[in-house]
Amino acid sequence: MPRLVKTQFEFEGRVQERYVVVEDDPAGPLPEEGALRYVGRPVPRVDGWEKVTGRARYTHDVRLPGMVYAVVVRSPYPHARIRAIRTAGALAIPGVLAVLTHENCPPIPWGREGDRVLNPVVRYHGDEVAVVAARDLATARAAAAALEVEYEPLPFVVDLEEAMKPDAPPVRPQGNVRWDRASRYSRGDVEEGLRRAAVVVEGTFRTPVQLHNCMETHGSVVDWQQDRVTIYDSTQHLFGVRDRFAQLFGLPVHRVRVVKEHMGGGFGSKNGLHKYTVLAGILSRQLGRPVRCVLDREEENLAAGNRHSTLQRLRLGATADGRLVAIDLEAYAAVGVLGSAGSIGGPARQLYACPNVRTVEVPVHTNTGPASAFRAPGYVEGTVALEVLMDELAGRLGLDPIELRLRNYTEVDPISGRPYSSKGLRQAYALGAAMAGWDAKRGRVAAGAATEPDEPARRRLRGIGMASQIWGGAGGPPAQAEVRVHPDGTATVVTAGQDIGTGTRTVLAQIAAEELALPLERVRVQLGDTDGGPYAPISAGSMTVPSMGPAVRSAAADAVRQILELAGGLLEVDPRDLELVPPGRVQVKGAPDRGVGLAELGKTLGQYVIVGRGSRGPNPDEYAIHTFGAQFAEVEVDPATGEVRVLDLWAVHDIGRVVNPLTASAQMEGGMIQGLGFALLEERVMDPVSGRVLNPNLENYRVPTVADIPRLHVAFTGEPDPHGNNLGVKGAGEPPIIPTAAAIANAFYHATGIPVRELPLSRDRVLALLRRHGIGPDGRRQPSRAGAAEGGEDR
Amino acid sequence: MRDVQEPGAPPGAPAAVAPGAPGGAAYARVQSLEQALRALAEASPPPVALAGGTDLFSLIHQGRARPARLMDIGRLEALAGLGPDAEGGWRVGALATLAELARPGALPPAYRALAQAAAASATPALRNRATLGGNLEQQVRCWFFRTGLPCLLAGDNHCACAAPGTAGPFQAVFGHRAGEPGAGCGAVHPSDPAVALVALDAQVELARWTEGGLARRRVPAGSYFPGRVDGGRRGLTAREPGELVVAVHLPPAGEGAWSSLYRKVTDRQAWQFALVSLAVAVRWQEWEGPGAAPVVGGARLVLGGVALKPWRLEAVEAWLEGRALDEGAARRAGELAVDGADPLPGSRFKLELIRALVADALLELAAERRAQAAAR
Amino acid sequence: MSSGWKEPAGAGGGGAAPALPVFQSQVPVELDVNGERWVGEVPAGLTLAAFLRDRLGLTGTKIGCGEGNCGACSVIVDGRLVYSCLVPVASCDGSRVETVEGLAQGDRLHPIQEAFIAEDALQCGFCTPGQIMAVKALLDQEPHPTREQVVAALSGNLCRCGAYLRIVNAALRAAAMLAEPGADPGAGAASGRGARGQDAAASGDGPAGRRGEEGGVRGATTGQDPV
Repeated sequence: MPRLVKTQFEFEGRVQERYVVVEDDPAGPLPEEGALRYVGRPVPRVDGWEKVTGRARYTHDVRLPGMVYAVVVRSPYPHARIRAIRTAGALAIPGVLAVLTHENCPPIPWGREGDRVLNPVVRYHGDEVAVVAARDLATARAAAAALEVEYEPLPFVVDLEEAMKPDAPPVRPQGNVRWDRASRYSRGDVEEGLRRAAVVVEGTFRTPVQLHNCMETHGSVVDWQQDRVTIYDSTQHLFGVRDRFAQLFGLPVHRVRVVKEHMGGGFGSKNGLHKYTVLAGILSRQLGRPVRCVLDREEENLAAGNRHSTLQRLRLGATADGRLVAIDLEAYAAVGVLGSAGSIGGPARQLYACPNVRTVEVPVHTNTGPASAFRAPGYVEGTVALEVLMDELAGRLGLDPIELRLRNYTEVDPISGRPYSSKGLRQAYALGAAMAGWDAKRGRVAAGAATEPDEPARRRLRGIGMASQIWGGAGGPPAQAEVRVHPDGTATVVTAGQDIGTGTRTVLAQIAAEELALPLERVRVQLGDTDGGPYAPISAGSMTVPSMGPAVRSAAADAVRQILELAGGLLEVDPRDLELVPPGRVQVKGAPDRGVGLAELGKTLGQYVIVGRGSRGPNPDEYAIHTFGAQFAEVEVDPATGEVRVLDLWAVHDIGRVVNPLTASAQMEGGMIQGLGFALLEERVMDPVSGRVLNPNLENYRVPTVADIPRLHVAFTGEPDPHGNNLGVKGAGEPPIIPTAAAIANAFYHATGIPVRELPLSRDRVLALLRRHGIGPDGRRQPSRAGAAEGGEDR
Repeated sequence: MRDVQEPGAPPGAPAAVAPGAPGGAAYARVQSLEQALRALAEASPPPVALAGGTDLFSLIHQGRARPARLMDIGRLEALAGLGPDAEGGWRVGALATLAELARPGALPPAYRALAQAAAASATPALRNRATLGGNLEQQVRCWFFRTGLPCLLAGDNHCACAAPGTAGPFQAVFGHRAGEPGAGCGAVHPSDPAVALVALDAQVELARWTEGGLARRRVPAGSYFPGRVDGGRRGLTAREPGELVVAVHLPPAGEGAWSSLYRKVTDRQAWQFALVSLAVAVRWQEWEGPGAAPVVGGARLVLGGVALKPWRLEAVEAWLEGRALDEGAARRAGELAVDGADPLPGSRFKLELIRALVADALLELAAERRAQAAAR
Repeated sequence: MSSGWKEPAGAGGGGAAPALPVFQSQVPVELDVNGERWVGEVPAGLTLAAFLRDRLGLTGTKIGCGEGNCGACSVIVDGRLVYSCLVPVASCDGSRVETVEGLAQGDRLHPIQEAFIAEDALQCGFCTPGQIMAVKALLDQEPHPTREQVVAALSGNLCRCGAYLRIVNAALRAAAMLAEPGADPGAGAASGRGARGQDAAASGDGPAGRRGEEGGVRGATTGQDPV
């Protein structure tokens, strides 16, 4: 029987209290690792066939009879009042069916700042001005180009630090620096801690705007019919889209269906309902036809979300023996016209045992597209500042960076005081150091030390660095699943979640096959349709496997309970004396010859489908559940050309039990590559004069190519979490991107002796840094300027 | 959002958009060079030549071109071919793809810089389509131009990239000052092969239709790229509106006289236009014997990514002539290469790249010379 | 500065001016797509990508950028890899076009496709058809590529999920499979259902891969070779 309890829930660094429905969990403890057939095995993706044949259907590929194409007209100005929109020319083009502007669009509210879907004032380059619908895409594009819009340009500001100035043009009437929405945290007394500290290091850090650039751009097809609306959407949260859409249009949820079979990447940018879905919905209702609205790459990079840039002022105070006594972080995030700051202070609050911590995270508006979650929002940026400064602290104290981290190691969550359910960080440090050859490589001299006489005229500077990772990833309720066991002894797992490319289908199939004692090929997983099954949560926050996995396992266990019950009737045995063994056979314990196969049992049941139900139970309130990890980077810096080349990346993460080492390793590698891009290549560039994005394309916004990838080494600590859930799993999505950039920055520091304050480490920045710190093109310190090279200073 | 109409598009242009046809309203494949040239000269509206289409279709996608007529010259025999010419040099048809040029052994060793420049361009799929002729005629990759900001090359009255206060990334270092041909424009010429062709002293063969016949002319690569901003109608080369690039002619290599190479600096390891690139062709004097640094008989050094045209380093060339190329000389050449540079705010770091690239490339060639001599 | 000369029109010296070309908004085209003949008319500027997806319903070919920067739309035309978003289909008259849909024979996958699954050389799968076609174009030309050749051949196909090293390994594995039909060099390791967790260490490694450092590791390590 379901019952209601109150529990704490952590998502992307923020803790909320919420009610959850708790059901009995029939799943017992998992057998020992050696006895597991699928869980923990490198099972190839169950949907691999669809993807390698081109048969997998993405939102881009949805084609419906009578489908209409919608194209959004976007502002070329960073801030303007729309004086007039003349639609006659566009509407005169044959095949153009409708034009929506702020003048004729239903007044649907958008965001929490009082906007509507279409507004008379546009606030960023790419802001939605109008939407045009036509019978095909080319006609819609032509009509969009033919729309005459008269703008009155308004003052604007696109840079974070410019926007913080008192005389900056206001992006919104509420002002730019949103102290009213700041997140503040404090424990102990930071000022006192700093006074007591034997050493204080500080720095001002700047991180760039990173664009998701999912290979499949955002988009929807909305098919509004009299009694129901079907939305095909490239989304990480089917139910989030359903509920918000229903709410905005005043529809009951049973009339709204959201479908997503496959999606070409999300990384946080597809966490909820977007404007194009709403606009397509309005048009579909108006035209009585399905409407497709898919962004192009430029729109994607202007208006589909981004990782906000940050400005962080961080101070660390420590005792002479390296115990942290103060962490003080003031962080500003350029959230664009809408959006909130990620948990930039998360690592500062959580990673180390420190009695005195103060963090404040302040959203700042700029005339740029709305920021959104991007894989470990805030934590990537915050880890760069914290872990880079930790290495400088280690340098000041004469400690090995890992030793400094171990001296501040904590077995309890410093925020809540609760013990961690499991923490493999110590093992990750040790294993990572061993894999990377840390001790030997740290011994190498940094730049500026005396050079050997037989060295080449120009030397590349080599260094190794590391950084730690902390993140949530506990998962939690609500998440529900059904397991249907068919009369022929096969099973379908049904839950209305989504596989965003991480391998969710495969992992859930493994879990169900394990519990049902069935061969994997007799289990199929059905996802991606809100009408198709019970609730599954958003695929974000590293919570998919630890939320849906336990629910599926419970549902399978519930089905097994029913199978044994029914088989007991057939075999005339007490069900408690029966067991289900591979491959799908019920037998009497201790008497294996007395039993019945599932298919045979099914024949006696007629067409009866056994339906097992399961839901994710709450997390234990007495533990703090987190993922941990450490990454190591070895880099080579060319002092003549400013090239930073990463030679190797090593990652060791504690994500609890690894259900599928194959897909989990792939995900680790992917996170590291995105982290490498963030460290070295990726940066949205704004033109301060026009206020426009200069690189909204994949030519000049540089995501890494195959030729940019170093050697990658991945390992897991692998211990199942004993307290979190019935599988012992934690999340894997975010952890691998969190420490990569910080590890690379620390390797740069080791190679050059120059602390990093700003990313990405592009050639222009690197060359300027080297020269400012007195390192010449030959890689040697120029004596006259050596004084500038003392580490730890700010700039 | 932005609509650039080609001159001569039919009135009521939007209605002329064929359904499903983002790339242009009408298409024809020409059967002969004469027909193509006559169409360029006489057809109205004038067609836009289409060969590989890699730049044209990205310009169309970006709203920077909207040709009413596409004239497919991609199968013209007269523009094809790759091989020795009657003068003892080498003729590269305008339709030779970058992939063909990059294929090992496709060009004699003396033209290595061209093969390397082709191989360093773009990506495999683009090199398979992109032709040498189209590569020379491509538009700038300027971030401002390509995102629809005001640009002299697009016919606007100023370049947004040169506005005070902007820090356009990856801009020019040379040739953009008042009084110079590229004045007011911070863009750089994007081609890799063009840089190599100037260093190799190639000639570009053009043809046009005149009364009753076909007129050809050859322009030295060094003057084919005037580095001039010309209101956007003519592009970045000496080609006149009615002309087509027919071929590129490489001068006779001579027996081992010249060796060349091309080097390119980018942020990403693939698929990026040059931050700075360098083509060097060098002729050595007689070998002085083991231990001696090789002595430069003559050299041509050309930079890419630094100006609106491939930028020849004539002063460096003159300085190198007759000089023994050791480490010090190479470094000094690198220093000389940035003499007179005037970087824009977004391109200051390129000076360092130029210094390193020039020195490293010269040393690489010298080392090769040593190795060859030692092998003999 | 420039030299010039004139020659009479017409190869045969007939002197007659050639007729002006006839520009058509609908262009007759005959194509071979995955071995199937297609005859019809196409709009003048229609891209091959749009044609494949919207006219033929071959939506395996993806459009990631529409301007030749990402490679998701890669297909093979007359044996050469191209970005179909930059190719007007009108210019492909008489050409042979290969897309991802043409690789498998019925439900039997092409070795490249098998290798992609075995190496887990994909996550979201959106770039996968383009990657597979890039590998196909390479192996058609160079059946025994080095790792460096594979990297160079794939350098115009972006993967935002970061499956790159696995894609390289898949290409090398497919080359080995094609060289010796019936033999999948890594089949035991990567598809190894029922293999012990520790053995997953090899799962990221193709034939040219090497094992990572594994001392005392639970779960899995992958050691990926440089590219």
